[in-house]
Amino acid sequence: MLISRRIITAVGLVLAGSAAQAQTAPWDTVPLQTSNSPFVLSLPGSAETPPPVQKAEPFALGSAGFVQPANVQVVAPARPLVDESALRYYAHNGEIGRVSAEINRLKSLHPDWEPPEDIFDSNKTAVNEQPLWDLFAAGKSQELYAKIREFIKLYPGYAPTGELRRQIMNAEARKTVLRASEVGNYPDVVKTVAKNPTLLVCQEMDMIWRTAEALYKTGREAEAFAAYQYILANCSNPDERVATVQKAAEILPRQAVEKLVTFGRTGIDGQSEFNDIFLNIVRGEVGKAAADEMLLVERADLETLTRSAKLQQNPGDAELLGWYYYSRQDYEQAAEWFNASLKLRPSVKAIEGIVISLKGAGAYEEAENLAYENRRKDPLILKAYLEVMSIQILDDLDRELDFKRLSRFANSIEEAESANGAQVLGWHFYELYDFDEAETWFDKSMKFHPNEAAVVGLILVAQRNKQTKRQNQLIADWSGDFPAVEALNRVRRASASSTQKRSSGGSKSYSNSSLASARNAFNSGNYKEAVALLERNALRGRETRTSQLLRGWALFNSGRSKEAHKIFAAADAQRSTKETRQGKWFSEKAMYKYQ
Amino acid sequence: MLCAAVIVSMMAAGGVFPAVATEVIGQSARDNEAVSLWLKSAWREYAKRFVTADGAVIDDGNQGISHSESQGYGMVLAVAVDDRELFERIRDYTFETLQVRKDHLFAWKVEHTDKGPNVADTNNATDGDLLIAWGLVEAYKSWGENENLSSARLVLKDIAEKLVRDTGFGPVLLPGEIGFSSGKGQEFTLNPSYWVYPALEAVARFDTSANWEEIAVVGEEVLDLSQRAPSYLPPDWVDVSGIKLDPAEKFPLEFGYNAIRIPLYLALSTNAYREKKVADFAALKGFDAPGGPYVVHVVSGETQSVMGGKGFAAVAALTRCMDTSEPFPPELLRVGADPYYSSTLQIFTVLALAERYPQCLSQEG
Repeated sequence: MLISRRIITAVGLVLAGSAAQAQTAPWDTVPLQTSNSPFVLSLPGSAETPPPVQKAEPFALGSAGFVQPANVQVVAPARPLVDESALRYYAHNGEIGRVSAEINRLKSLHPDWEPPEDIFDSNKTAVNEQPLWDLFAAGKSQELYAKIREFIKLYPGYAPTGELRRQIMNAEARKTVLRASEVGNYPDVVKTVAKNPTLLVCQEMDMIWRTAEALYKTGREAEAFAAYQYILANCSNPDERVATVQKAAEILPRQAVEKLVTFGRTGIDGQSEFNDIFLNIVRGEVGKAAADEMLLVERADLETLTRSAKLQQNPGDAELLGWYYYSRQDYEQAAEWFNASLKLRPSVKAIEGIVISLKGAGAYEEAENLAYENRRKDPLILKAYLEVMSIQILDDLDRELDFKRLSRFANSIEEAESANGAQVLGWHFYELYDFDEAETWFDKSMKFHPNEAAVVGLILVAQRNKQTKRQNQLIADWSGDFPAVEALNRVRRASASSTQKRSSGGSKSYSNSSLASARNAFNSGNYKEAVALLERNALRGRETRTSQLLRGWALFNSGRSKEAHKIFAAADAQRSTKETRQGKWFSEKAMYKYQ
Repeated sequence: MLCAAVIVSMMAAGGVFPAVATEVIGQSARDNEAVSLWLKSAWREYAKRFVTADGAVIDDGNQGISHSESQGYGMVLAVAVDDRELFERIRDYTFETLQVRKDHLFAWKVEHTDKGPNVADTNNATDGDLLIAWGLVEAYKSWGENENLSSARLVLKDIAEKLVRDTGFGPVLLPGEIGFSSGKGQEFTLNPSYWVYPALEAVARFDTSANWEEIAVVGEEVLDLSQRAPSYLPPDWVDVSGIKLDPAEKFPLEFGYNAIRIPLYLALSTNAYREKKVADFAALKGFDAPGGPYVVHVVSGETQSVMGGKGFAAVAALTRCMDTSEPFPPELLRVGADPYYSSTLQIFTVLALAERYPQCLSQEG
């Protein structure tokens, strides 16, 4: 495709040109706060020489929609070019007669021309600007401006020469653009670059990117597109070109991005330079959709990715398609893609994908075996294995497991310290009336992480085994934590109060503090409740001596004198008081009588 | 699991599994030149380190004593590697020194003192007796000397009379004549690793003083019931009363250096169902990856210690290979450093692999 390297319009140039005239120079006034400069721009190369000649005209605002390769418009300057060199030469030499003759000659050639007012200025002062360039190159703008003001005072009629002036103005504009762009003040970005049109050149890539963004954010979408297009048509740095498409993809709609991609150059491998980035965009889209099943994905995107996965043998794309189809609950396609990916490259994620896809498809046996074989490769695969097993066991709780599957599961539960897996096995054995095995697993489950299913299991096992004391203890210990246990507790209380008359436990206090509740429970004779509350408090690890001793008495009064004795003995060893000695004595007595 | 055992016992009784041709132990290994070379080399090293000139097999990890178990292992291994001379030396020592009871069983423990061997305990160890009988039967099969068979039968007859007891599960093997039954002879302490399955299978074809096959099936049932949550590893010792079975109170509640032999014996069995049980071990703690096996507390499921030694690691690797065809690690074939017990298990493991799963060794062969 033939693209003009000079995309420029008369409108743009006029806009840019007039705006540039209206600016005041930064050194015109002394800044109020010199320390307020947020950052210092480093400038490219040595400032002693002017910037390299640009191949392309700067990007001009208002140029949207004018990409017409065969229709290059080169617009004449607003004012005619007048060769003033002879005039200045004579002026410099003080040859006034010759100056006058030259003015007449030029006027006859260019009727509208007026001689510049400054032709004799250089005659008076010869200013060496090198110190200014040095300051500029060092980025010391405030010092530079002070120096310029000093020069103006020192050499009447002095003004920075064109190139220095342009560079200073651009540097200032650059700062303004950055600042405005960073805080999202997009109108200021657009305003600033409009005044400094020479900022929008390939050497100032960042400025074009920020301008494009600002244009888009201020509703000038077509111009934003044109800015990106300008880069692709005129600028040659391959990294910057790729970055341009990436940035465009972040803000422009997909169609616009796809259009930009067509400006890519074809490499020696026959692939567009934007092939990867386009694929990345597609991957991003499909990836987003894989994480959010409500998102729709273009059919073309899936096809693009499918091509990449199949023809380019890209395992990542195959895996991504796996996740996409998994999110769409198309488990068979998902498993197929994960398998395809796995064939191309070993990947733990792909294995996990296959496992959960098989699980989703209900192919539990296959999922179980694959997950088990790979369980050590990733905790997520181990987790998936435990889940697959749990699902299958829960599906048919009293179906006997063959020993191999049982031992694999048991060993993996231990390895993962899976409270859930352990309680599932507990219920499995409970259903098989194997209460010893069930109890072992419920106990394990509680050890790994206390949970309702396991504690209810333990309570029911205790009930089956007619271990009333244990049953009550479990209920007392856990009814505060699990609603189901609390429900069992209510049932138990209801049946207890119906058979035996009890004195009221006093008015119930619903204090926020469990310690206060514990004390209330203790004072109203509900020692087991007090124990449960105090034990939970102790488990939090910040038990005061007072609540520790209260726990001792609560235990003592609930008939758990052995544990009470342990507490009192420990407290006594720490600091022996009358209370600790009493506690020890009473619990010891009760202990030996009880035993 | 209980059901499975019952089914197998029915199948065995009904003769669903025809008796396999009575090959001598180590026949496949003898036929495979590479394995045979390894076995002979390992045996030379073993004999040099653990077998005395008199024919005592020394347990260097156990104060250098000899016992009926080490003599039995030595006899079986000697037949397996076709070393008749050494077999006879070990056999003769065993009969002269250990067969000192009033019956044909063997005193289980001999100390070696300056004044010569000293029988330290005349109680028997049933697995030792069984191993010796097995060695004699294999020798008879290999070299056809009738005296070996008649000696074996005498031992077996006494095992059948004194050590086979009836329980709720059927006939079991009492671990020794004294000290393993109580409660008017209704409660027993048993050792699941005393069921030397290949020995029971081998002797059953030459002796009918007890129903050895049935005893083997009951052994499987004892084993099944002993494998419990959370580790499903069998404890070394169990208490049996009626049809109740629990880890033995008098012994540590551990899967340990006794029970580690169970998967090995199952692997040496010629019964396909027993072989399958070997693979089942592969998923258990300490067996499922290199690094084990471990001594494991059977109630808590916690690891107590690593069983250090190539022989133990070899048994674990054997179960994995029989489960998932994981190749047997070549480093477990190195000999010369491990003590008697570990070395014994190592050679038996290679024998089992050569007989049952030669493909596990194919990288070497």
